[in-house]
This record gives sequence, structure tokens and C-alpha cells, in this order.
Amino acid sequence: MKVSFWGVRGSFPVCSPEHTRYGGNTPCVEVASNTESVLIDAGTGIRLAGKSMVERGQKRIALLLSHTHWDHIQGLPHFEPLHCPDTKISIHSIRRDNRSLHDIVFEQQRSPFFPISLDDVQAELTFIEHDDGESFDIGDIRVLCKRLNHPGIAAGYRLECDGSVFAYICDTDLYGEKLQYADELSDTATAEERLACLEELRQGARDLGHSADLIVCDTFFLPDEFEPEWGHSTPDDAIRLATEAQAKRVGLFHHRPGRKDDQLDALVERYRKRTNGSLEILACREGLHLTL
Amino acid sequence: MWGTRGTIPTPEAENGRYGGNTPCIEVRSSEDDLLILDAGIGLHWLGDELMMNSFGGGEGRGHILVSHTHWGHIQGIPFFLPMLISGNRFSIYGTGGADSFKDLLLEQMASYYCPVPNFFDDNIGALTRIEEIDEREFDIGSTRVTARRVNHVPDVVTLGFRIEDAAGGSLAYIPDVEYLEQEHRDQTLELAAGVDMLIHDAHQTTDEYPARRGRGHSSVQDAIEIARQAQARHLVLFHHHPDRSDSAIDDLLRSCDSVGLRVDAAREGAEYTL
Repeated sequence: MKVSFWGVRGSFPVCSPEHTRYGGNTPCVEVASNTESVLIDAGTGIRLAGKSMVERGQKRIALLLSHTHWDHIQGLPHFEPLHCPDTKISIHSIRRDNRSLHDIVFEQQRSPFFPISLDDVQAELTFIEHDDGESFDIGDIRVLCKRLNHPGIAAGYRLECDGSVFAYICDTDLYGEKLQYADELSDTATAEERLACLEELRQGARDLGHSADLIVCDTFFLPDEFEPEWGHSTPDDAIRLATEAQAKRVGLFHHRPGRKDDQLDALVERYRKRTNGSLEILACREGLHLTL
Repeated sequence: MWGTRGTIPTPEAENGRYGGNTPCIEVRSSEDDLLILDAGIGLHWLGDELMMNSFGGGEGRGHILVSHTHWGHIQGIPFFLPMLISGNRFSIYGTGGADSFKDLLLEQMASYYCPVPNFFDDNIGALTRIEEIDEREFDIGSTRVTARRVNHVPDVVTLGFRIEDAAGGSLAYIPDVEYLEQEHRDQTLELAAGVDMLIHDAHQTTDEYPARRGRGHSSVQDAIEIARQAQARHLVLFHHHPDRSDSAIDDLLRSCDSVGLRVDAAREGAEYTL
């Protein structure tokens, strides 16, 4: 299994000389087996992934969306394979209650927001929504989809192939006390019921990351920056999850826009010292290719 | 200049000098009125700087002129911190064409796209007035603003702006335009006549243009010709193509050496006094 990082930044693309080493493009990660290529999220990094896929002649592409906040879909209109004939692109997300994935993605690319409608692209598009906890296959890659704790509806994914496991757990507040979709629970839900729901989400994240070779995890906040309303995690949360899930390696991801290259260097060094080698920690950067 | 890139932010290192942020230009009048041209991602960084002065304390006043609603020109609004500070006041001017301009801006903030609070609501953050305009002249402080339709792509009504300061100094801002007919040139010529600075779409090189005709953008050659005809004193090439690296923009500028007109390529961080 090969993992390539095309975009690692959270919230919005950051164009600054102090951010170029880790990169300023919003999330896009490619996971490839010998036969399949799966992209996760369509931040601005997908523009670079698309160029590479066209060069490689990739004609069958699956795109898994964690959720539809801008930073995870804004690159899609600039994804070159959309404009290639004989190309099939399947777009996946967790099932949404109110508005279909198809409508949300089409709306992004409708006039007067973008000049080329998805109706007019050359690739054949399919939209597939999955239930919480559903497993499905993309060629030889086995995928598990689980709901995460983020405003609206977000999902994480576990991908298995060639005996390796990769987990993508972003965006989410892993161990915070706020249930981000409390609005959907009935007004009569008790505090205990909400807590049970939170624990279920935490167990879902552990299931995604169980014995993974690499967990890529939302680490938008540092502990002293934490905002309970936002639905994001800290490196401490990511390390706790990786430890509980018995993962081999954890990748800090979805870096906050203000976080500069030097600060990320120092941050990852600090956490490595703290865990004292019990867990391998890396800070994900654009252009990084790993073989699991 | 806070953002000079067309279409999509391009953070890659090879774009670092001219910059990867989508369009946003800060204009200060002789009376220190704040006019902001377009609300691409560059707006976020302008916002950070504004927060260090009166906007941080909720005493700022700004005017945002939006050329059109393609994403690259509005995507900075949800990340513009001064709008989260109560006491600040903003006016946003633009057109939605057949749609309501306000509804289009609100759609960008819909909860399934954007988790930040809807600060167009008067009870949240700054007081923000969204003003639907079309072809119109109006005053902002010591400046006179002229808005005119220019030809871009059929799906979106696009405005160009001319800004003249009562104390002297004038500029025309035409970030997205294509000249398919003489009428389209006349629209720009009216806005740009005799200006000190013409900031103009140069999305395509002269060589690329024929294959991309009809996609709503100008070539460098178009920009030079219109600047000459309008007798603009200074041409700034703007809205760089996402694939145009710093060195490609350098080459492009060198090709303009002998045109007998002052030509610059818009660069993030550049400041001019007119």
C-alpha cells in the first residue's frame, strides 16, 4: 500500500514562504494498491493529484470525502481527470440526512460560482453514500466508514489492502465533551445518552485505527488553543487514540493555517520526546510518499 | 496587493514570489477610507493586519467591492476575522445577476459547506450591509467609484471598477475580462481612460489565447493593447493562471520590455502610491 500526501493544511489554503515545506494545500491523500487508486478528500491538493493521475493514465478513481466543508471539497472543480474521456470517478461519503452528496457537490460547481458545470464534464461520475459502520470494496481495497464528531456530518475511513492498514480520521474532536451533532438527538435525550453517543464515536475512531500501520489524524489545535465548539483534536488526542488503537504510527494532519514550518518541526520533536519512542510520530507534509 | 492569483489558491513554492492567494487588493484613499477589491483568500491576510488596528477594537469601517461571484473572488469572506468583531462596519457591493447577491454570499456560508457563524446576521459580529449594485457611480469617502459591466463568461454578470480620489490618483480594476467584440473593449476603455494604474486580467499568454478563446479571460497582448488605447500610465498584469510559476511570470514580464508602457506583474505584498 502506498500513501501520498497532496494537501495537509486545515481550514483554507495557505500561500506563504513560511508554510511551503509542510505545504499550504488543503486536504487530499492518495492511497494506492497495485491496481487501485483512492483519493481521500478534495481540498486544493487534489489539483496536484489530478495532474499526476492524468500523467499516469489513471482512468478509474474513487474519491472518499470525509465531509463537505469547503477545505475538503474546494479543489474538485480543478481536478483534471474530470475533463478526461473514458474516466470513471466514484465519489463516496457517509449518508447524509437532509441533503444529498450529489446536490452538495453539484451546487459547488454551479453557475455563477464556477463556469463549468459537472453536467458538462467528460468523466463519468457516480455518487455513493454509505451508512455509519458500512464496509465496502474498491477493487482490492477494503474500506470501513465510521461517523466522527464534527459539526454537520463527517466520517473517517479505514483502508486495508496487501496486508496493510491505513486510517484517515479527520475532522473530529476525539476526546472533547461536546457532542457535535447533539441537535439531531431528541430534546429529551439525557446527559447519559449524550455521553453514550460520544463514547460510541470514540469507539468508532478506535475501530478505524485498530492495529493500523498509520493513522492520519486531525491535529488542528494545540492543547492551549482548544475550542470545544469547532470539532477538532490536538496531537495529545491523536497520540492517545493511536495508543488505545494499538497503531504503529500516527501522522499529525490538518495543520492550522497559522502553524509555520518551523513551529511544526518543533511541535513534532516535542511530542516525539514526550512519547519516548513508544509510538512513531510524524507531521504529514505535502509531497510525502510512504509505503506501508 | 494581498492576492493576485486566478481561479484557485496555489500554495506551491514555485509560486511564492508573485503569490498564490486569490484576488484581494487593499486601496486606501487620501482620507484613509478603506476599499477592498475582491474577497479571494488574500482577504484573510488583510484581515489579520486590520485586526492589529481599529478593526481589532471593533471601530473599523470598510467597503468591499466584488467583481463577480466565482469562488476565487468570494472565498475569503468566511475567513475574514474583522467581520467577527462587533462594532466593525462593512459594506459589500456586487451583483448576483439573475440571483440575489446576498443569497449567493449566504450560500457560501451554508452549514454543510462552512462551520463559521453567519456573520451577515446583524446579531453576530460586525454590522454588514450587502448592497446589490449594477452599473453605477457612487462615492466612498473621498473616492468616486464607477462600476461597469465587463464581458467575462455568460454565466455570471461581472463588474469592473474605476476608483478616483478627490485629491488625485486613479485606478481601474478589471480582473476577469475577455474581448470578443468592440463593445467589450469600449466597456473597459470607459473605465480605464487615462488612469494612473490599470490592473488587468492576464490569465493567458498571447500564445495560449487562441486555444482558450471563449473561456472568459484576456491575453497579455489584450491587456497591453487596451492599456495603450486607454492611455493608462501603468499596466499591472493580474489574475495569474494557476500553472504560471514565478519564473514563467518573469519571462512574461521580460516579453513586455519593449512595449513602450510601464508594465508590472501583480505581486503579493506589492504596494503602490498613485
